[in-house]
Amino acid sequence: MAIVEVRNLVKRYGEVLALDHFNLKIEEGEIFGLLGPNGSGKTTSINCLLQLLTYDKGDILLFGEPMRPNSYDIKRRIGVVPQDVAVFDELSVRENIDYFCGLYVSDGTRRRALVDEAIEFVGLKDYVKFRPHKLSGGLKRRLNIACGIAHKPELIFFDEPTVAVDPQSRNSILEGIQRLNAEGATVVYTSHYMEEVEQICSRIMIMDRGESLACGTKDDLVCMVSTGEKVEIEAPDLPGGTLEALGAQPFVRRISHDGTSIHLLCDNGPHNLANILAVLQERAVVFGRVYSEPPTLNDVFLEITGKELRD
Amino acid sequence: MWNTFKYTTLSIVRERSIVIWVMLFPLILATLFNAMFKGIDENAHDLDPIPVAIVNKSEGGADKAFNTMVDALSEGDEAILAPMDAKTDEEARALLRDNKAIGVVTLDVDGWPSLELSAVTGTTGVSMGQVERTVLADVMDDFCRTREALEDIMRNDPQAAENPEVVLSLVRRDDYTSELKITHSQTREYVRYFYALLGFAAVMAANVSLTAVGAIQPNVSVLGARRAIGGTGRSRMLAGAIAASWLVSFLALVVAFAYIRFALGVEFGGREAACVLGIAVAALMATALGALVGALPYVPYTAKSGILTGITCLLSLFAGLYGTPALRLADQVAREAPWATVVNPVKQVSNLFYSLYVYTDLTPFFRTIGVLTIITAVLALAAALMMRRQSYASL
Repeated sequence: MAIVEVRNLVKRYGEVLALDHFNLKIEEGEIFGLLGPNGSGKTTSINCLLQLLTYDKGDILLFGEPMRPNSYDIKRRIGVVPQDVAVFDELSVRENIDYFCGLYVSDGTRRRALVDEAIEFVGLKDYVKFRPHKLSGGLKRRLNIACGIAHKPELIFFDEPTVAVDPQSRNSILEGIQRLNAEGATVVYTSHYMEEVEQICSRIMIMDRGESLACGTKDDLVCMVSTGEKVEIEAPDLPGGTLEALGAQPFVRRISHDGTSIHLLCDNGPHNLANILAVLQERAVVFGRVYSEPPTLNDVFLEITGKELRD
Repeated sequence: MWNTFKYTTLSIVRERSIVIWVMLFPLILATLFNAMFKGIDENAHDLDPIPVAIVNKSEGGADKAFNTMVDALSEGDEAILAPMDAKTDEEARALLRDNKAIGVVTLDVDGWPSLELSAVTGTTGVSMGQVERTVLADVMDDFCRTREALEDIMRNDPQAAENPEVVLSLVRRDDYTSELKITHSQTREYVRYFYALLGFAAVMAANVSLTAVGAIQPNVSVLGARRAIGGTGRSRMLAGAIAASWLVSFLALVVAFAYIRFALGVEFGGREAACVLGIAVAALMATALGALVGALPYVPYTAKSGILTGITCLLSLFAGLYGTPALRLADQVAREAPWATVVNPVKQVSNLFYSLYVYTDLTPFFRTIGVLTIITAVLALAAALMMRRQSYASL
């Protein structure tokens, strides 16, 4: 069953078209990644989904039901971890989690158990009495997550939860998301960090300028672009005509030399690397290490949009 | 709702700006007021012995009755007169001219006094000694009338003059004068500043609901946005926040009242229970006002806070908070534009306490309660309408 279904969603901020007939379908049990640069419409689409923002046109269905601003039965099945740390500065870690859990669960005994579980889950047991300003950036992010997941939602939106987080905390957050998914939660994860999306998402949508540009598994996305292989060869000194000879190969789409290495983008083909090395040996080019890798999501994004993901 | 009420209360009482401006600031102001105004008012009611120069020109012991009266009035802790003997009229006038004496009493050869008083305005141009002049004139007038009556009785009915009851009846005043209480308490001007201060504190307490309502609105804070997408309805969340705001405002005002009443000793007419009722209504008005300002659309939170502070300061001016000129202005506005006083919540809260202090009847107090309730209802209705219609095209 589609947990999230969005049809032809249009959202304007004045003259700016933030979402342009945006469509989305997320199945139960997925970790679905919304990947796009800042301002691409990821957060706007989530805010519209949650009825936090009005929109101009379109249909939104969550759990198969039309989503309305007062659909509290649906909202109680959803957890949200916003991009900014949104907690009470004046309440302790435990009080904050208890408050947000209380927005969904009124039974005090059950809530106490859920809060304990959430504290354990995010590893804030030693900080339960701390106020947020006493926590490090990473610990604040963990608190932000605990407040969004304590009530054990079936669908969780994570809106760039790792922004400004150290690598250790980032890994901890990503592992936590995978654990939540393993426990049955469907996850919608927005980010402009392609490595994270590649690491945890089962399906990915690439967004830019309020549009869905491509959607599928990582392999699906890579297959959508013509770049099949990236090759990098350490070769500081190149005899004249080498780059031209390499560029003349029919499978080479783009070639460049940065003074120390040759960078080649190639079409899909079984013998690309062997052919490249043969050209270098013919010309007696001295080379060091050789790297070959399939295209990344950034390459996919670059080819689809013509710009880097982090532009 | 309980969840929101509990944690909104906790977060508000831990919010530094609320603690400073809503809880501590009124106490600090009250302490300053106590130092500034209370001393002045008390001094104004302390009557020092009145310096009077006496030129005695009487002969043959005709001054006996006068001297007896002066001795009686210039002895002890509650002495009214401070007599100064002057040998000549010139010497007495010099004392008057130098402001060393308020008046000059000259006894003629028969011992009858005549009184000459100092000018109403002293050399500095400041009005001085008005009460002392009145007292001195009254004392001399009383002496002359009593002596005249006694001499008349002795002339016409010598036997009656020997009857002590007749003589006593001449000096007793309670037969034909009686003390009437036209106010509930002995009125002191300075108390009005403290009542205006409580009005000011009440409107300052509107910051509590401004903060609480702001923390619910998605376009004000990320916290508001997160709460808005939670599983609890907006109306229930709002009810919890409003209830918490009222409680905190009420407690802050009760603390300010208790400090003013019991630590500073300011009188409230002995009607402390009614004062607490008035505070409860004032806190409700403050909560509604803060909610209304908090609900203003398209205005950033900091601007709303500035608007509320501006409103508080302006309304307090017309409630007479800022000293004697402001008090006069407030009185003038009350006379010439009574409607402006009616719609001024600071003035109405101030009136709550004033009516308890001054009037024996409780009708003015309950009338003010009614006015404040209407103001509260209007503010709350406007806030509810604004919040009900709000949806967000952007955050």
